[in-house]
Amino acid sequence: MGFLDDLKGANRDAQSERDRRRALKAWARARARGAVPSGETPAEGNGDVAAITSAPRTDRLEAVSGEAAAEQARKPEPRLKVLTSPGGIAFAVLIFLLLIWPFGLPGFNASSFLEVQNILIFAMIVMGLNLIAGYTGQLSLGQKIFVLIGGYTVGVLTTEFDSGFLGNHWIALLTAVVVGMGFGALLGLPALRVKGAYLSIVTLAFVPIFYVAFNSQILKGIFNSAQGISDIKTPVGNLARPPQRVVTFPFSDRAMTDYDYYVFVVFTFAALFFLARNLVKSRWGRGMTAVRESEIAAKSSGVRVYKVKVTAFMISAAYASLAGAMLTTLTTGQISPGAAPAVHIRDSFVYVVMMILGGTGTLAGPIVGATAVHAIRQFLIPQVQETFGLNLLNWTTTILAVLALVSVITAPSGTVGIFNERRERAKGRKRRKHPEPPQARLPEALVRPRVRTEGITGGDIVLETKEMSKIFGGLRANDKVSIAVKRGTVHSLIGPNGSGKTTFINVVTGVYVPEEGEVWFGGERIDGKPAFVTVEKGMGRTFQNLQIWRRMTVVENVMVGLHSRANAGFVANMIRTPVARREEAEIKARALGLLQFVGLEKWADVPAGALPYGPQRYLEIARALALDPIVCILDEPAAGLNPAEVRDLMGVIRRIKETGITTFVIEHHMDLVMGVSDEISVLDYGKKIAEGTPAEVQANDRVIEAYLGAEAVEHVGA
Amino acid sequence: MAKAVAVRGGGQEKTPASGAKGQKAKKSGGNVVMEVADLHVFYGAVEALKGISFEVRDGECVSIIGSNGAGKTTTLKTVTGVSELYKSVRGRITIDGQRVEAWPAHKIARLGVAHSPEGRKVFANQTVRDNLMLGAFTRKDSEVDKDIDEQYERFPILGQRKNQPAGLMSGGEQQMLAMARALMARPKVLLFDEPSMGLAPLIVKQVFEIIQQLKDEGKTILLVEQMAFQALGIADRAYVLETGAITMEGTGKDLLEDPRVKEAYLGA
Amino acid sequence: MERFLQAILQGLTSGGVYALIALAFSIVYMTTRVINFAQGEVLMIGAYLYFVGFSSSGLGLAWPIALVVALFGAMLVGLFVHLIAIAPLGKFDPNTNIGWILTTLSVSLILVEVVRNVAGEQAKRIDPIVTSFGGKKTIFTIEPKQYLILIVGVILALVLEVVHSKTQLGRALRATATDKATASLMGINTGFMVRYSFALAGVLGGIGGWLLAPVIFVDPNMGTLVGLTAFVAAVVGGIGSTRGALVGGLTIGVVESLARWAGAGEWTTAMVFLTLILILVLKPTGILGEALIEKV
Repeated sequence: MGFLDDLKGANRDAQSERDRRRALKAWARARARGAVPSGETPAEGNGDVAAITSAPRTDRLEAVSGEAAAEQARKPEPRLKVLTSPGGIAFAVLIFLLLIWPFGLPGFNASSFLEVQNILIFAMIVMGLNLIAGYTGQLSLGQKIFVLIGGYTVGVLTTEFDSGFLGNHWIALLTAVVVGMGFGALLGLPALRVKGAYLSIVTLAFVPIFYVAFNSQILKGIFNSAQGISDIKTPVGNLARPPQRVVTFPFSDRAMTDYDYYVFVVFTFAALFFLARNLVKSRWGRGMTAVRESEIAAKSSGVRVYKVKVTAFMISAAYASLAGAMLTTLTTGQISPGAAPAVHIRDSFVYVVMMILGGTGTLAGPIVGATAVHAIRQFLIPQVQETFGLNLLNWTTTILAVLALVSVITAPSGTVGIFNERRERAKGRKRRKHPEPPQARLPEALVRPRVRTEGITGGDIVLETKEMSKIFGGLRANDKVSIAVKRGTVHSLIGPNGSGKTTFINVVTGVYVPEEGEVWFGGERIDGKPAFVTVEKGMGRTFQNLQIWRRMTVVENVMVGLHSRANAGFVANMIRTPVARREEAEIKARALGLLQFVGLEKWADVPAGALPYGPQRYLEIARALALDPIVCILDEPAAGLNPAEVRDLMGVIRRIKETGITTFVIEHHMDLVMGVSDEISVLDYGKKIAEGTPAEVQANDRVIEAYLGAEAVEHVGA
Repeated sequence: MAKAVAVRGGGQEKTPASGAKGQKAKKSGGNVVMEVADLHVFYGAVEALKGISFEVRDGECVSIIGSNGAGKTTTLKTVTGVSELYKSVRGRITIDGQRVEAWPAHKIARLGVAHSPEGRKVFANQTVRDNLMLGAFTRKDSEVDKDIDEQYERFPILGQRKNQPAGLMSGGEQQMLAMARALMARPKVLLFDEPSMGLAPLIVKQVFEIIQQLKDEGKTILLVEQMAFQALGIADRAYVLETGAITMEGTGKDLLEDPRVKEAYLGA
Repeated sequence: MERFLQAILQGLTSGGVYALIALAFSIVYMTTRVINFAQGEVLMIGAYLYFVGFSSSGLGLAWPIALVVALFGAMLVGLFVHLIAIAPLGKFDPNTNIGWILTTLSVSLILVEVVRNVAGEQAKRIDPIVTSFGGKKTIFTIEPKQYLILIVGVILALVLEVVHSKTQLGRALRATATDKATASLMGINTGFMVRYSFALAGVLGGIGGWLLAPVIFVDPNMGTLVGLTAFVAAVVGGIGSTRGALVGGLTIGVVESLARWAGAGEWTTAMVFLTLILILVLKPTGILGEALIEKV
């Protein structure tokens, strides 16, 4: 049922575990002091922890407080804690000010009233764009489509169905959101099959198609082509409106005034911001960032990449539709296709400019960006025009485009982004000056890697290839390779450059489909199945060329590894249901525990990119262990490590072995391979040429020949 | 890799090979065509090359051997200017009398340096003949076609495939192409980066036979290899590179018989 | 039947422009793997420069001189786009770092607005340089100025195809796109190759502008739709292939024209872009595209 239940079970055993934990803590402290050489675990030798209970007794209080700290770690974040953070307070103040602004605060007049609402609505559009583009990394250049869809939905419904059910403004609004999401799916499903520039171009290409639809004669009955729809329900304004064309309160006939609707706009803005914030801080937010930074690492950590992309796209479409519906209602109560598709392309571009200027991938960015661009457009340019007599209004687009250019080139992280980076650097300085006090140890249940047992059949052999061949063109990169990995062992794969080791791993992890032979994992045949099947079954891996997410913190990296072990969906996380919050807390606690296992716990809140190289490798290992893997694949884990770090790594591998996890290591570093492996397989030119214990392999002539050349065997001998 | 030797680090503690003569290898050949002195290269904070020095003289075949990750390819790429780390380079690189540390790759190539890169890097979507023509890009003389025919003679397989896209050839054939492409430049010095990588033993044999041929013709060659014994068998002089530092140097023959070389590769 | 033939010819002639601009897209893509969203605007500026040079309300120069001026100016604009949209990005992998989409898009918007402010929104008329086929005003109701587009387009495409495949320059351009580092090992100045391709794309845009100006009149927005449609043509034919640009351009031109003949009217544009989406999602390398020959 997943690690959450395992954790609960662990709690129940707490009493009997206490001595053991205490002893482990003592050992850990001793090790930190340097009294115990690294690379050795207390269980070295006979796998028996009892051997160290003779270690000095710890203070009972500390043992208890360690337990308390763990309890604290697992407690879900209180529901409204966010409001006590500085950002939360600032936001609450902003909302408050917005609400009382019409009642006497400076700057209020009829046009600025509308301006501010425009800004809030644009901010909503950009918030949505930020989710798909800023966080998930898929640059959509056609968001205006959804704005139009939202506007047209409300327009069509409230004029066609007038006093009927569908004509009700609020129903129409809801419908607009649903329709928006529907089109988000319709457009997103094909578009997100491609990546990078192609994706952006596809989203851009949809704009003229929708323009033609809205402007067409064929659909004139619905959209009224070039003239568009007018007389859409609006709140009571300066215009005298017949009663049925006015927006009324829900479930009532009372007409809404401008201020009433304004309150609705402000609250929607706040709600959408809140929802976005919750999403970003949840496991889905981490998943989105993971997809953006490294899709392959995300895939290998159990994130379903395509699903995340499409869902984020649908959410951004919903945001834009809702905003579009409100915008149409608010302004003149009409909507039309405009002069040409270029108008909507330009508007979509402006949303992107807002996002960039404010700060891509930040929470406050959309608000700052929308405000900045609006201020430039509506205030700065007219002001400068007046003061200096320059005809700047005609240069608005140019000015914004230049800003975008400069921004992309010099400051890709935008205003808020730069601010965040400064704060991060300051934190880093503070950390270096005042290192954090050693934290209380988490209970072993959280720290210890766990091997998965459910759904596994197949007895002793946990991973196997049978006569597997992978052929590229005419080249047999893997040639009838049969390797059987025994459960619970450390099995290494070595071979000179170009011998097919990477190909082998790619076949086993589902990246490649082999042309011949079979691949079996945990009793199930997996060759030909998509990669996520093996990951979700319990295959973790690290990468030769490090694929960590540098901009997420260390603990967040590991938390992504736990992504597939939780259940609460996008919506549950956006509204922070109790289940979602509990899962989040469990994920965090477990991630911290795993960090302790690899010795990185004091770096938990540091951006992963700031870690030195060696610890980054350990981070990947912790992330792979988060899957509770049956098999953990380490792809050249020692690359770039110095000898001391290699010794440490050997110790970590041994400790992983103790938990029952099977480790499969590809390596060149012979000391490590010989020192830690139970079994070694040797590849050369795609074929397996030797297999056996380290001693056997080292003495094998064919192996010597493979590495050093035939002459080596003569010169130096076996 | 080798434990004690690697930890020593730095480029200063080179051990002369203990060969039959037990003395430092005499340098043969003529002028120094390429000289590298105290070269440091950094990957961010990690030092990839820790102050290495070596030289190649006219007519010599010099080899740099080392295990994976030792820094061989970084060395060659830095020398020819295609290293992505060029900003972090310290030290001296002199080619044909010119100091080239800050030079862009195409300028260095014009000095007469032909680099056959790691992984061969043929232009896959262009034909064999196109690739050879590109090798001669820096030449302005009229004998290019003649040289192409020469390459077809030396490497018959290239002649057979002259109008086929290079990407469809096997690894061995691509290696031949890469070497022929380098030869087309009529360079002062040939740089071969791990020509044996990923090739079947028979092909490796052929490749080294060709290198021997080129050596006999008097060409100046710098050969970087993982296949230590093949390389040492051919080289006049050789250097052993371990985790960014040169730990041994000597004649090919002397190093071949030195047991520490085997240690460096297979662990003890 | 006559109308059908007309539609085909019409399509071929407009296809000629699409082919030219698709060529420009392909050449830039060939060396940089970047798509220049400002390409349509280069065409537009070329048209304006020609207008300024040739028309009686401008400088009233003889058309060959005006053409040279226009082409020179267009080339400069091409280099300008590289200078401010691509060069400042420094070294980047165009597949992962897509800032270039925003920068080239920005430049395209800037160019449109600049021209609109400087020259006004109103369309300008230009007299064609060829008005009759020795007496006959039109053949199949297609005027000589339209046939000129087709002829020039095809000739240029063929010339560029030869240059591209048979000269060192062409090889060097392709090598720069495939593998910049190895290309520079050959002694190729890859920075120059990139600038050259933008300059050449500029000239092609200028020629397109010169050909199109007498046909659809000159206004600031003339480049946008042509540019986008030509982009579709480039992708359909196979981006990065000169042959593909020609084939794609003519194909899209004919398909567009036939669609209009069949009564699709306003939906023609939608169809064109739907084609783009389908191709990108299903077969991004296009009809003649260079399939990546990848070896492990």
